[in-house]
Amino acid sequence: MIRTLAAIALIAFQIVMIGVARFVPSRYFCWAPMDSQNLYAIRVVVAGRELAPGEIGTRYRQPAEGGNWQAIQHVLDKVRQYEETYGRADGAEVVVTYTVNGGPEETWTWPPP
Amino acid sequence: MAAPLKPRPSWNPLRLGGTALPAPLLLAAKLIVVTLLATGHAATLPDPFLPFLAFFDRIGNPELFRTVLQIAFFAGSAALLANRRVRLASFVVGAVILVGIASSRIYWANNTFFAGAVLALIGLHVSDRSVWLLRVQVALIYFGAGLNKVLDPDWLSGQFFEHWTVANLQHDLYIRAAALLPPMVLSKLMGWATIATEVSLSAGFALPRLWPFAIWLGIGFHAAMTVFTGITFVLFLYVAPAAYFAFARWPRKRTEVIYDGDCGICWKTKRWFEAFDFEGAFRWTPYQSGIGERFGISRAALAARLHVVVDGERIADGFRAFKLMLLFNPVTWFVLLAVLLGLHWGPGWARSLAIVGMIGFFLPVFDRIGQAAYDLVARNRHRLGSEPTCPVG
Repeated sequence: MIRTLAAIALIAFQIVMIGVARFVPSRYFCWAPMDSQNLYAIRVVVAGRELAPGEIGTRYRQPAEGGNWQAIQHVLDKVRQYEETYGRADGAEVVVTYTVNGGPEETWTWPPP
Repeated sequence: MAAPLKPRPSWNPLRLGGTALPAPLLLAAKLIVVTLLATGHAATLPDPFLPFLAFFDRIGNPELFRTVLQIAFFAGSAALLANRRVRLASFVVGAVILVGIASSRIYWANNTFFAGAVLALIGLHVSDRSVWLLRVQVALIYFGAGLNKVLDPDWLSGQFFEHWTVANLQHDLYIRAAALLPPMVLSKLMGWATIATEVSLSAGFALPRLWPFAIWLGIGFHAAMTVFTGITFVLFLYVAPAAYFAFARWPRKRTEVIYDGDCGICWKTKRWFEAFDFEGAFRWTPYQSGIGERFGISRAALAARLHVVVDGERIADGFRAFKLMLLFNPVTWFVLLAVLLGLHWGPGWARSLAIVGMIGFFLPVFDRIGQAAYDLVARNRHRLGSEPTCPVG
């Protein structure tokens, strides 16, 4: 019975996340594999110094520039979560420029405007 | 009557019998685990970093956490392949992946989550009745994928496909084909075709009478994407077909193989198949023994073609019989997977060739060609067989 309930919980979680995805820009656990083709570039300034691409890669464990096949929000989520937690004391200023499916370039900044 | 299969668990990874899991589910779990091992997945298991659940940030020793995940991954994989505590082993490997995802956004990927969920669900298997949960999982993947796309304006307008194929893949054939049509038409068609396929797959896997259709459509879909793009979508090419074993009708008893006992090439074929039948799942009987009468098969038919009888009711002959013998032998699946994994980092054309060849051989629409080739050999089998004929008792 416990095994069956655990299996049902795993399935139910995904069904809920498919519903959640209708209201948020992220696409976790809702089966949206390679649903968008994104190009992005991250620029980070900490205490007045701009970080090198290698430093950005180490900081977020994702390349400073590159392509992303998941929702672009997933790239932004990593930056936001890092700056809210591990990097909170750094007071970093982050600018992410990106395009989604070859559309117009957009900009996301941290801290939020 | 054919005796039920009740072997003891074997240490041989190529065997499936005698464990707490039905053969097709154990086979699915093993194929996924072999894929994970062969693609070096253990090295990608994460330490806690930007977790989905903040709890993981409080783990004092991230490297130890990662090491524990890796040890559990290898221990579970080894136990599963050696047919020891297979349910627990499958659950452990699946749980390692799911915990890894929860502990790191960096590790998150749809194909990884898919593998973890399928393994965990196989590990949570209780009885034949509970297989529906794994089936729901498979249907849910395609439902979610189709729904996400149909609500995405870039998929409906063709913008996604246009950008992907032209700017990203720079797919020459696609660009040439698209140029023959008004702008965006081919991309729109491809987008809609993808959505229609995924929605059809979710419906097909939800309705038992459509399972054979859904299995072939799913295999064709993943194969076509790989052939089209030249990439495997990381684990999807391997994990999706493996998960389809949740829908397989696997023999419950020994499969009867009825052959011509007075033919050298048939005898050689029997020996060859038996050498790889580690499970003892096939019982070869010459038709001259009169076994055909039990299943209502005429001697003339048996003299013309080899026959197999699955579970005493499902009869196939000739080329189709050979295909069933291959499909119901786990060794076949490990060999097919080994071929694909051997080409995982190889050139895309070689992988595409292998995939097309595999599908071409097993796809029912090519049965006529296979049957014609079989009949050609069968008609000349007494000339082809150089070995002395076997005695028929």
